[in-house]
Amino acid sequence: MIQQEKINQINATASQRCATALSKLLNTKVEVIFSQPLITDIKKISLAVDSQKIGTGIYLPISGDVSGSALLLFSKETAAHLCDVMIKKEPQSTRELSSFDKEMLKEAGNILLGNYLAVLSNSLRVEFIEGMPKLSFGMFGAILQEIVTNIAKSAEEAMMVRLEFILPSLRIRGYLLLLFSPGRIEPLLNAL
Amino acid sequence: MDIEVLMGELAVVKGEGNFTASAVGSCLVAVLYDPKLKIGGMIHAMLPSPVTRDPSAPLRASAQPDAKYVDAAIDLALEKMRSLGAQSFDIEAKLVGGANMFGFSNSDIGQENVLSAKKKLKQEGIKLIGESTGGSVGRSVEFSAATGIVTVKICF
Repeated sequence: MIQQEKINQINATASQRCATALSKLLNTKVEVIFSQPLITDIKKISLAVDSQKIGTGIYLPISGDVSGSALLLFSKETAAHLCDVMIKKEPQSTRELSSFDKEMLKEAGNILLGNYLAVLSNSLRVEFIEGMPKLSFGMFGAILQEIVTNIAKSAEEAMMVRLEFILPSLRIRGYLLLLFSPGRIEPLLNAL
Repeated sequence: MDIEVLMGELAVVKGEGNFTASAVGSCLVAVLYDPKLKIGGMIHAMLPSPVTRDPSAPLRASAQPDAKYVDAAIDLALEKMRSLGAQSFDIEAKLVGGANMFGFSNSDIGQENVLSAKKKLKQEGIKLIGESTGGSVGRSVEFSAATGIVTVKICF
């Protein structure tokens, strides 16, 4: 129980730091809703998002003392909106994502994930290494499925951390999902 | 009757029944249908076969067939269809999914899933009459066991 409380506490701090980073990046207030880290059946993970929604997925592999996957999901409209704000373009001017827009979205993913993992790393003295981000478009469920199937090769369950960002003034909504195989989080649990 | 087939699940019905599998990426959906008896089945599998498991991972104690795997799911679906009276030579198959959403170059589970399904269908003597597979797109599938019609929506 103490272990679970500590995980929740770290998650709350890390989520808040992500929100602050996003808030600074976009120069606007960000609300963050985070769920408790959950160990769940791998087949049920796709239910954590609105699977039919069309959008952009930014995937970052995590290695180091603990390996896992991070996935940032934004709706199509939100991705375009984020690009408008980050690149300081006229509102609603992004229709199709250019190569530069895609790089900016990957950078947003890097910043958010980097802030989350920094809190986790400092609190637990566990090293994480972020891999190169990859970008995909399509249904949230289909994007998430690719990550989940990779975990399913070696595990029946995964530990999932789900953060939902809401930027009321910009109508932006997105998810950050962190997935770890339970068999690979021993260093993390030992550090608690 | 509406049946949503989630990842790692399968369903089989005789007669009326509308199956759906939404947001299919690298997973493989196989629709199996006996048009004479109107017996339909759908599998929504995640991985090609249990032998593709990470060798460092402990094997599960249970050796029960698991619908998470393409070959085992097809076996289970065919078994259920045969128990309802379907004959292998009457059953037709259509495959959907098997995408590579991130364009990974070192791993293509989607393609492996498609190949596993084709191998299994050939072993079982099931005719493959259509497919919408591969690429880097998500798909949603609907299948009516009353008509045998399969509808695939591709989302870019």
